[in-house]
Amino acid sequence: MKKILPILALLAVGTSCTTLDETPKSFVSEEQFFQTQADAVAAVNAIYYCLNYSGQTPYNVLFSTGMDMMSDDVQPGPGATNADVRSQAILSHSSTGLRIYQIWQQHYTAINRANIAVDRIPSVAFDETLKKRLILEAKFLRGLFYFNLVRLYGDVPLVLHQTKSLNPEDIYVARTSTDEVYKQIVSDLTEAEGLPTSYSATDVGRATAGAAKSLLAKVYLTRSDWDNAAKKAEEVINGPYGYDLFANYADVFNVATKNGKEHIFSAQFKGNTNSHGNSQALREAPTGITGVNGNYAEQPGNGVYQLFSGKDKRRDVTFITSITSPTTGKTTVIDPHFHKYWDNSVPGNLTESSANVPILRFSDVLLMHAEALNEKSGPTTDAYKSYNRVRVRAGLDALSGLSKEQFRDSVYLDRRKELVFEYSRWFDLIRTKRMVSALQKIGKTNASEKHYLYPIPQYEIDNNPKMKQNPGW
Amino acid sequence: MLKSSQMRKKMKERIRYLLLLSAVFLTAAAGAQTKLNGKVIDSRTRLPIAYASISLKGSTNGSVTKEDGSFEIVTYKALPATLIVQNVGYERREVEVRELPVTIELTETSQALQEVVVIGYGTQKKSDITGSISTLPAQALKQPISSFDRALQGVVAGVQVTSVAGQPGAAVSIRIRGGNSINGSNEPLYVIDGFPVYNSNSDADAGVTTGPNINALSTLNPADIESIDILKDASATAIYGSRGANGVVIITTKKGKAGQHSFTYDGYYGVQDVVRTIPLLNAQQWALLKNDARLDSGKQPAFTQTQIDSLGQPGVGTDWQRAAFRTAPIQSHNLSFTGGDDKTRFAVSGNYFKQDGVLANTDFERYSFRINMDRTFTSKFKLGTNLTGSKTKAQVAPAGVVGNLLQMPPTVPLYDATGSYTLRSIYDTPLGNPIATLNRQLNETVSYRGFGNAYGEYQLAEGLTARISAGIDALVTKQNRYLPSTLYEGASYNGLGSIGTKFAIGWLNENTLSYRKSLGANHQLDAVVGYTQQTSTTENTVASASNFVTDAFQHNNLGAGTTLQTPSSNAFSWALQSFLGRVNYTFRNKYHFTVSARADGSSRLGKNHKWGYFPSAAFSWNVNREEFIKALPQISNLKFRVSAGVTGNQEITPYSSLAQESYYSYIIGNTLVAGYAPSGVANPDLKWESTSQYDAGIDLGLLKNRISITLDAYYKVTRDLLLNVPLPYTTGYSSALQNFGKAENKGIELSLNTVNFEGKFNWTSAFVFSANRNKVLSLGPGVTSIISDPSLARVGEALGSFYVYKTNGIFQLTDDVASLPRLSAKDKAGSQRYVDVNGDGTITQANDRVIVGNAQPKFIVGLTNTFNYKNFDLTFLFQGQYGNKVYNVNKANLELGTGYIGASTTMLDRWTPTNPSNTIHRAIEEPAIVISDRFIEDGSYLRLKNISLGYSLPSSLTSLLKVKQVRFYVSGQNLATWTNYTGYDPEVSSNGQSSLTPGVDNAVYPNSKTVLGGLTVTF
Repeated sequence: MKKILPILALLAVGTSCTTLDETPKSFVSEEQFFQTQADAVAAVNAIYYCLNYSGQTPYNVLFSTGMDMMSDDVQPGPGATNADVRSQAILSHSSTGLRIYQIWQQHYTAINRANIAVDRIPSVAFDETLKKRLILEAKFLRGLFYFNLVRLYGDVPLVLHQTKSLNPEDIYVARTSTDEVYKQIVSDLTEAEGLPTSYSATDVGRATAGAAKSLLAKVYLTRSDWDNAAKKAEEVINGPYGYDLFANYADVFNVATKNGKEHIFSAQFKGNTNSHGNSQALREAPTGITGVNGNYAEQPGNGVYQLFSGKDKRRDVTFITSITSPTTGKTTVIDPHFHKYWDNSVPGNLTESSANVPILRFSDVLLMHAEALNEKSGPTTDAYKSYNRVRVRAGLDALSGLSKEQFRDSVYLDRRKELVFEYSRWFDLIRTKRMVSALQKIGKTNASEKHYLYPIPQYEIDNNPKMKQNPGW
Repeated sequence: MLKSSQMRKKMKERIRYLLLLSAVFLTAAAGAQTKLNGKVIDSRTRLPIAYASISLKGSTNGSVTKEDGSFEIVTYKALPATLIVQNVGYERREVEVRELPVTIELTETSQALQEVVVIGYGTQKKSDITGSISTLPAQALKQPISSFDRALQGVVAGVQVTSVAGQPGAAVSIRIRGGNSINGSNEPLYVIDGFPVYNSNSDADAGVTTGPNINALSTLNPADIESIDILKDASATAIYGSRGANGVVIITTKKGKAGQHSFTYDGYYGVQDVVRTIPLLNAQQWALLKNDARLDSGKQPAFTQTQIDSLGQPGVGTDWQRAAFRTAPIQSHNLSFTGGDDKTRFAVSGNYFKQDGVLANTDFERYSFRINMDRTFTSKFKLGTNLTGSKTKAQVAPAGVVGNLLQMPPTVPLYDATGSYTLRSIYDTPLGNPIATLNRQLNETVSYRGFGNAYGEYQLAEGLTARISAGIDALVTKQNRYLPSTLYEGASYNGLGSIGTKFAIGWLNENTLSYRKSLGANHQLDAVVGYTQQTSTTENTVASASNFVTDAFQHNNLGAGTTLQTPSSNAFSWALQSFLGRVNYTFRNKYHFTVSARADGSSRLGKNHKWGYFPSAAFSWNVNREEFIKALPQISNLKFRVSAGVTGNQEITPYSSLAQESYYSYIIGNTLVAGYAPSGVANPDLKWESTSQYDAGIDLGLLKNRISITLDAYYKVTRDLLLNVPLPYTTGYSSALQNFGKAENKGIELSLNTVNFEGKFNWTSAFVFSANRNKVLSLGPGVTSIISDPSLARVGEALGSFYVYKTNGIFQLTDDVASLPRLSAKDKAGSQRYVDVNGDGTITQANDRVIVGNAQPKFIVGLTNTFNYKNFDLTFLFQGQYGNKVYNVNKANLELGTGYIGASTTMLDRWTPTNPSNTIHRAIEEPAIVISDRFIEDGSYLRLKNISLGYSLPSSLTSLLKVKQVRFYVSGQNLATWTNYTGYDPEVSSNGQSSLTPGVDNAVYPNSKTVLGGLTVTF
């Protein structure tokens, strides 16, 4: 046995050489997190990330392929090779559609992150003013994401706390009525009115009080609560925020003037920075032009270009009809392609466009103001005032003397032209109940009442026994 | 080890004997002597056999052969004389000698029942084995292969090998008795000279290059391998516990043998060609298709009649496949030097292997060396080491390039007017010029691997041996990629350079005590206990830059790029601690019992379940050693085996049980800001996936083992699957890794070996057959299926089921399309029609997809025939599988008929009002693939995998040349394949080793066929 002893000793030595405890080096585990002010800021930044990170995300292509392509503004180009996208674009989709579930999934991912911030930031000790601001930013974003969800899917599960366990009772949540969801949205956004009116240069891009009010105006408008819609829009227009229209419509999409006076809340992009470029531009751009890497996946809907008169300054900002190769200098005349979000400093790599996508901008608020006032009490002076600011900036004549109906139709048309390809068209069509008629008009004869709501993703129905499908799907 | 000490004793005896004999001969020198001289060689390898004993029948005269196999016996007898020749491991022979010198061939003991099989933590006589273990036939390793795992194809029952791509050096996918896991890996564990290596190809992937992964096992030289044993049932694999569930492949490298110094050169050179190309439309045919598609959209034709006529001229248009494929050389050169004396044995080898790919500018190259050495210091103490180092370098075909060369329209010229490569397709789909991509894009992986272990063995008491070993496996990979500005892919970056490194460094310490004891004639005991620990750390860094003024630097001066890309790095490690034990007990040499157990502690699992326990038990009965069987002399061997046991699978990413705060950045203040959020929910209860396996087998030898059969049946059920269980998205997550679900595999395996002819003409056959049936039994609460297009995992079905639309012909002019179920509101006459499975009048993904087959074969077979006649040897291997389906994505693309991309010749039969085809739809500008049964093809095939003809110089010549052996050979691989599959090759997997979505052929680098000639010289 003496001889065995050294062996056993060696075994014992060996035992201490490895450990089964895991201490990750290139990431932190959740337990190690939420200790400091920086952690809290980072937790809120991670919610913003969900707006537009690279790939197909709500304010970076997904609302085009998964929403506006169904409308009369956008259609899939030759570069759109996804069968689900193409079928959704002609309303032949079903509950398994890829974009149908991506929109759902990405919104709930964002909502969970907002819930984490709202749940956990209060217990971290740091500056109370900043703490309050961060929680309100999270609530603003939660409101925005729920607002998108409830408009697209109708009743949705209202989850307001972080998912911490995998127990069935915690993860299976039934749908909450649309009214209840809107109540929560209004509550979150009303609180968010307490956000700062503006930020110093280092924090530009975060949600502001003006953004909360503008979004509330849109919520009320969607709910046909004209009074409150007009009120909130007015607070934005007359409030201490300094919002105004750019004199030049092109500046709305100009990289140099982003986060300017007209921008209330935008999805922030920056090229060549850790995949934070706006890839919408690549998809609008034509193929076959040397030095421009387009893949022509999005093309304007039939007749959209023709809506614009020659003197409408928005036309040649929104579309491009001839293009000069940056390498050969050769100019080619092309069919109208969308031109918003192009960053001419990177024509060869348009995925790295630094152009922001506006989520809320001042002309939108002016048009909402005009629409709400008109619905409430006809075309008032204030309604004309707001509306004509948008028209005149576009190079069009100021209007007057319209009937309520004429005023409404005119605002609708200008909303479409002003906001084309800004992920607004589908929301406007369903909000104003004009979706079926508008789509029938362009040959999507299969458009029907059921299309006012998306189908609930089949995946969600398969994996949540409490989930029920929308009517007609 | 016992074996070698026995050999040593024998050798000493022999030497003594030799001296004695010499003395006798000298004293007898007076009479009329005959000198009987000659040589003894191995009938198969033609190598000389040293130390074989020769005796003259009817006398006491005898001798032993020298190192070169020669012998001499001096006798007073006249010819003819009869010599008796014997050697361990060979059949005893009596040879009548009529003329001199004589060459005597010995054949290895036919079924090699005395063979020793390497099992986990020890060896065992083949006749005593209780589990299901297969040994790779020696000739399988002689195929020209870049990595040894490819040698398993078609020669071992129960092992399915799929070459996932034809890229030289690319990974293979191996399934032993089917796949157990859905999300975890199903690749076997490799144990190389005692060092367990989990072959994760990601270890050799720094994340910079695109295209198929390089096989991490290709860093090892196949020529260094002496033997490969495959452990299949739980009795054999349970000693590897948590890593045994997918089977274990034990590799033993060549060791030196005492007294047999030999120096061998083995080399071959050959050429390879692509197995087949896909017939595509030529320029004129494609132009007509393009015009049809545009017409369908109401657009003007793209080509005028004059242009179409001129496209029909010979030599007009580009055959992209022809431009890309080439005849490519393959070569290997191997030098080895082995030998030793009774105290020290060594084997030293060096290898150079280079395989150029059949696609332009792709290759794989390896330099390697090996030193295996052991020394006996005292009768009780022994030290040894196995050490290998290698460098491999591969230029990989970039991802998508095969797709581009199929999809690039034939009307696009290879070169533009200035003589440079055409940048890209001028049509609506932006495809880069694939020939430029192949030739200009740098996409290389360079790996260095140092792999070695050292051990000391000490005999503590009679039969009790302690062994301590320590080993290190250092795999260092550097990847380089550069997209020059002249390439379409690089133009948008104005040159993009990336470099990545990956260090995967692991070490292992094993400490075992083994005990062997015979208690009287009736009881044999063989036991081992041990403690082992293994750990590995992987570190990865990636840096890239773009916007270069010049392409001259490639990846070598990233600082010169004016746009810096975000660098990245990460690190992870894992550890495993294990206790193991096994007892083999044999009663009366007939009844064998094995009990083994292993306890594994793994860092990868949840903190509440770090440790798992894996027991097994087995019994076998050598019926042929029973008295009653001796009445049946035809039966030379009969053994029954049964076993049961539990093994595990832990192949998940480290830290999977933790809730990781992942990095999600955003732009605030026009500057990047950091964000963090959990990317999953923590699961402290995460534990092993465990597989219970039951096996029953028979080994039967007939007619002196000229016919030998091994038949096994098994049933495996895997519980607590490490499954990414889908979560409702409302949780904020899409799935969580949980122990949910259950899957089963059951099957039979047959090996049949026959000696058809014996004597001057030798003919042996080896046939293997295996059939495995896989079924998902459960996917967790409430989950009935997991869809990952085009495949589906569904309870009650096999993994890898294709879940797609069923086509129903083409809509014709006579159909009232609007009233029929259709997929798209745009469908009209000439559109593809689908089956409305649920009869609701519409075609939807949710309701109208069905399972139309499975990527798993119903059975796989292999047949090897070996012939020896005089100095010629011929062997050929047929290998195939039956009943599997392949999703042909290439076909789906090439039959879109958009006029945006190239098209296959099947589009010539497209629907037109005057050609009412019911199989091919009309030309239409609809670029989205709809996955349907049209593209799910039969992937059954039978292939002449290898054929090899060798000629060894006769010994009369070799002795003149003073060499032991010279063999010339020619061989061919993949020379013929019989299949109905219309793609490049049915042996394919775009998704690599994936179990969820196997059998997808999406622009995979096609396999090649090879013809080569080689030479082996042994001095």
